[in-house]
Amino acid sequence: MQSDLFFTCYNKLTSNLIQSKASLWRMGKAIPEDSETNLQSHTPVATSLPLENIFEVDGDATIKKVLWDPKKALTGFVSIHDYALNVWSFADQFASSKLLNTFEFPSTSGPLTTGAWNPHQSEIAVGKDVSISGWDIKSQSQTFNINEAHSVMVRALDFNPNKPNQIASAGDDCKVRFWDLRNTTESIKEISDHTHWIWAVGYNRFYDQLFLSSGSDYQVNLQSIVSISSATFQYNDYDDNKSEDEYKEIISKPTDGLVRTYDQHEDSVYSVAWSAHDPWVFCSLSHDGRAVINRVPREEKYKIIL
Amino acid sequence: MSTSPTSPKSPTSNSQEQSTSFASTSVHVTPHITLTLPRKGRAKQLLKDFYGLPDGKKADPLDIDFSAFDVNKYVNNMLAEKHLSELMQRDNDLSTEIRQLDGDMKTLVYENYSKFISATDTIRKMKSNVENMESEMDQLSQSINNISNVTSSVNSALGLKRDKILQLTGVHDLLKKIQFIFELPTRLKNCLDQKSYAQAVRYYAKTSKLLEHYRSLSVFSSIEIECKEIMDKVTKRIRENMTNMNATGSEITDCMALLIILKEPPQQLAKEYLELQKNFLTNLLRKTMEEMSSLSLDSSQDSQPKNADSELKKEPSSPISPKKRAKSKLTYLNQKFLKELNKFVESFNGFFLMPPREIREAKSPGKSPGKSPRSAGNDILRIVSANMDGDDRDIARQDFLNFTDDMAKEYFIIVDSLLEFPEQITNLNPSTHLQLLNDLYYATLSCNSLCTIARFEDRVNEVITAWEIKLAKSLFGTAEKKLMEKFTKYAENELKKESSTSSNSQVHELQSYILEMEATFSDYLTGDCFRLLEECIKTETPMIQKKGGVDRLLKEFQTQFKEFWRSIVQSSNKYIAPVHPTPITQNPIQSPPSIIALMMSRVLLDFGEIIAIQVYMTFSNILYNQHNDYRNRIGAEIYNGLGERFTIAKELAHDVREVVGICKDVAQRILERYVEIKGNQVSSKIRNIYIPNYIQNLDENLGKSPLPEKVTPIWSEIITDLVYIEREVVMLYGGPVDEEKSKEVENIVEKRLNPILKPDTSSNVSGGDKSLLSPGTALIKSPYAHSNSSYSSISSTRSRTSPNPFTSSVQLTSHIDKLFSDRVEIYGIVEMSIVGIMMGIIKILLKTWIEMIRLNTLTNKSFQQLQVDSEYMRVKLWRFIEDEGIMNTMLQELASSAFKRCIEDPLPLVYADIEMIVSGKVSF
Repeated sequence: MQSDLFFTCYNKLTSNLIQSKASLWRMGKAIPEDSETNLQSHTPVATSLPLENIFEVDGDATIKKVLWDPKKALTGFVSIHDYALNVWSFADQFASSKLLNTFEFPSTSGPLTTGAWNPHQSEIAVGKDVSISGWDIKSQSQTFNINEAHSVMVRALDFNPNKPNQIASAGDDCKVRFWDLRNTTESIKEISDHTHWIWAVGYNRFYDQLFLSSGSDYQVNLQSIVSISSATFQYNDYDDNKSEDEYKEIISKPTDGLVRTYDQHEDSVYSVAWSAHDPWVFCSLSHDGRAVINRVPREEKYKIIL
Repeated sequence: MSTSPTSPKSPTSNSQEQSTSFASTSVHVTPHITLTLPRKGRAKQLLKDFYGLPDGKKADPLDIDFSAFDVNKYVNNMLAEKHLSELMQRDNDLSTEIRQLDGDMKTLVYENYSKFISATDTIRKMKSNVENMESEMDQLSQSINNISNVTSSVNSALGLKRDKILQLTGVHDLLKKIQFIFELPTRLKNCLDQKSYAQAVRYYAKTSKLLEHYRSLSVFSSIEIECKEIMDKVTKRIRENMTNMNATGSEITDCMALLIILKEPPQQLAKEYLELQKNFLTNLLRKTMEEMSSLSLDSSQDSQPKNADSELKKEPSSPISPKKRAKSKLTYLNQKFLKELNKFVESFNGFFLMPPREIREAKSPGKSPGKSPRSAGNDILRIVSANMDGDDRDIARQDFLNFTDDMAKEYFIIVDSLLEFPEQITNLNPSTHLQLLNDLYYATLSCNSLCTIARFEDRVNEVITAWEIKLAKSLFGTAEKKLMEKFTKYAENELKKESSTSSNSQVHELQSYILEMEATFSDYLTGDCFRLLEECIKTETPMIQKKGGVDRLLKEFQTQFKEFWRSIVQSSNKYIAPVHPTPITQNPIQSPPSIIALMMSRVLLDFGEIIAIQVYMTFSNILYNQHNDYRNRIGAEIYNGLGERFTIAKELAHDVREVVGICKDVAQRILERYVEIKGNQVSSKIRNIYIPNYIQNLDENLGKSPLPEKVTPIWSEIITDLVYIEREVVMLYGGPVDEEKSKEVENIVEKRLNPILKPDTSSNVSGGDKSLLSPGTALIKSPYAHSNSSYSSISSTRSRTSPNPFTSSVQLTSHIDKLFSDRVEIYGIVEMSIVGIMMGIIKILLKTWIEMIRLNTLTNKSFQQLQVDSEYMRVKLWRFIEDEGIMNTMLQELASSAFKRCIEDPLPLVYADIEMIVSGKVSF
């Protein structure tokens, strides 16, 4: 595991040209594992770790987003540009990267907006204007295409980590749509709880019935989508033998719907992410620079784990 | 009993004895009392005996009114408990009571005495009558003795021969029977020759058991064989008859009865019977239908003898003829077909479905055939039923039910065809149809077996209900269709106009268009619709007039009426363009123009506020007033949007409230949808210029000049759009048009539009803007009064604090501002007014702007351009809205976003320069 590596995407002004670039960084070693002192100190002070810029991704200066392989294979990464999708492989122990292949997109309609890497196969989904398309990076062929997935621009995509063939998309029509990639003529579910554009969505990495979305209506919404999640069947059979449950009043079967709206942000929330470690923690980031870390409400948690 | 009234003195003497004994113990009590009390008790006892009353309650020795009353105890008690004065009082009371009782008794005795006298009279009469009876009785007994003597002598004389006679009679009978049996083959043959098969079967049925019993005797067995042969022939003949194409239903039934008696296998018979009758009935139905159509030809020719071609079309000039025609058709159909069907059902039921009746009916064969008009000899045929076991019977029943179902379906299809509605629903004459339904109803009621077995009655009721619903549905449906048609027409016009020219002359007629639309709508409902419904209810058809009929009808209409409102709301919801059309439509339909949404919302609001209530009022007045007891009911009171009060039938009150609520709710939602659509439409223009990194190019286009020269043209376009939208909105939400106001509005619109509408006349946009900003317009307040422009505030902050552009103070101020300003709901609830609608659209526009800016990286130049643009918008938008706070907050946010996204050190323009540029007086 190389948890000390991360990419950043940024704009750069060089010779009066604004360039969108990406870089790989390595965090310096954390404080030496002196567990005794760490546990005893009640006020852990965040020490700023030394950062080491490893390399800057080449290619045209329109990088939107960099995707790691969700299988944690760490062999390569994918960068999404305005009109291209580049597949890279690491070389020299992450010290540099080599361009493997490129998917070009026509520049007639708008640029690519977002992308997501399918955790179940080597497939990248990208959003371009109002459509979503999928590309197999091994066979270099198109896997699916959803024209007019949203009536306005697509801004966010995420694959269901536990259930193959399911992808969530969101965009400027204030709606989240869920698609079954085997039949994309119609979405399998639609949520419209946001009152302005949706900028980020995310399946919980462990319990895919929990789903986050955030948008420029200053809100983060935690949704329960149990009906289309991989946990659907789980709740159908074991219903009878929990009579002795002492939490009976608070615990009922999880149902679809908005679990909670988090409105601590004072500005548009452009990003939201689940913790990779704790299934119940997530973080959201708004334009004013405020990052908020929240927990899934206890009742919902019990509904899921009990 | 007889003695008691006659000797009135004896009880007195008796009581005197008692009284003396009482008196001895209670000396101090006045003798008057002691004398009367027991007398009273006795009299009571006597009366009680007389009337046979049981002895009352538990005896209480202290209660003076009871038989167990004990004087001593009572007196002692009195003495012990009461004062002297009370005792005196009691004494007085008692003596008055006694006197009263005495009087009562006297009257009682007098009354009974008169009765007694009449009784003695009766007894005297009886006595005189009885005297001469004695001698008559003597005579009677003597004669009876004589008779008995004679009979006994006759009896003894004939006694010996009686047995013989009996025996002889028996032999005679037997011989007669045997004679019959020996003659049977010939008889049967005769019958066969004469084709009276029924007779043959009857003979055979009588004897077959006997023959079977004595089969062992050769004589009989030969007869039996002979008979069997003949009967086989008979059976064959009967079958032939039955399967004959021309056999009528009753013939088939008769044949079937014979076959059953002949003990043919019943399952097969049932099947055969069903098959045959099916053929027969289907043929009959077909024939009847043909005849019916010819019937209609005849009648129409009767009414219109000259016009031979128009037989099939209904003549509006002769409203009676179609009515008559349909009626006669139905009667004909019922007579021909329904009766046959009924007969068949009845006989089939009797033959195969009922448990064998032979046992029951054999005992009382005379009872059942009362209905049948045939000869008594046919009785056997009427009561036959096949012996089938349960399973077979079930199968037969199932087949039979299927069959009747089919037949009934066909029948009702014909009935339905008779009940067709005219194309123009308002031309409908409901009484005709009601008459028809009535006939149908009573015709089916007369078909007993059909009702009981095939649940025909239920079906008829279904048909009737279906008719009612259909009537109401098509009535109200027409109203809805008309309304929606108007919208569609308008939408089409609008689309056409859009494609051809951008003429705007029709916009101001919109309000009158809508008013007219609403008027025709409510006129249609209150006029035609309710007239027809009223006719239905007022009709004198007995079916409707019977108990509960009207109520049911009203209820039906009421639900349909409510449904109608719902469906209007629903279809209006469907009709308008969705904000975000569902993706991936195979064949995208051109969505109606957004103004339809606005119109729809206005119309629904009017419905909710005024029209629904008015219409319901009429509904209530017309339909519920028919109810004689309407006035006694408490009408519920409803207030409309203008605060006027209406009284309405109680049953409807709930509906009205619901309908009003729904209408208003949907009007609101549609309006929000309109705002959203418009907002997105307008803001899509910004999206196009601010696509990320476009600004770089923009910068290049801005020219060499270091400072922005003019407002970006897109913004004036957007303002034009907004003016158009406002025009639409003013027409619909501007309240009632009074001439002057509309003119004024017109003026404003013209003024605003003029420079932009004719881009050719004004050389550049800023030139047009000048006129817009001219202080002569009364409506324009000076926007520059608010000089705390967002940009100037930023610049001042900057200049004061530090040269570092990313100083936190700028962000800090904007954050603090945000804390104090309310969060702006972008797609929130839209107020139903011009300002509210415009504000909604502007909010969406500004929000889009902010977000687009945030996606971009600005240079100093584009930052300044943005500064100019935003000031321009501030000046322009200011007119559309009332509350500037929100707009200013949003522009402030735009500024701070831009500030943050500026890659260079942003150098905000001086406010005066901005003002110069915005007002077009560029002096660079």
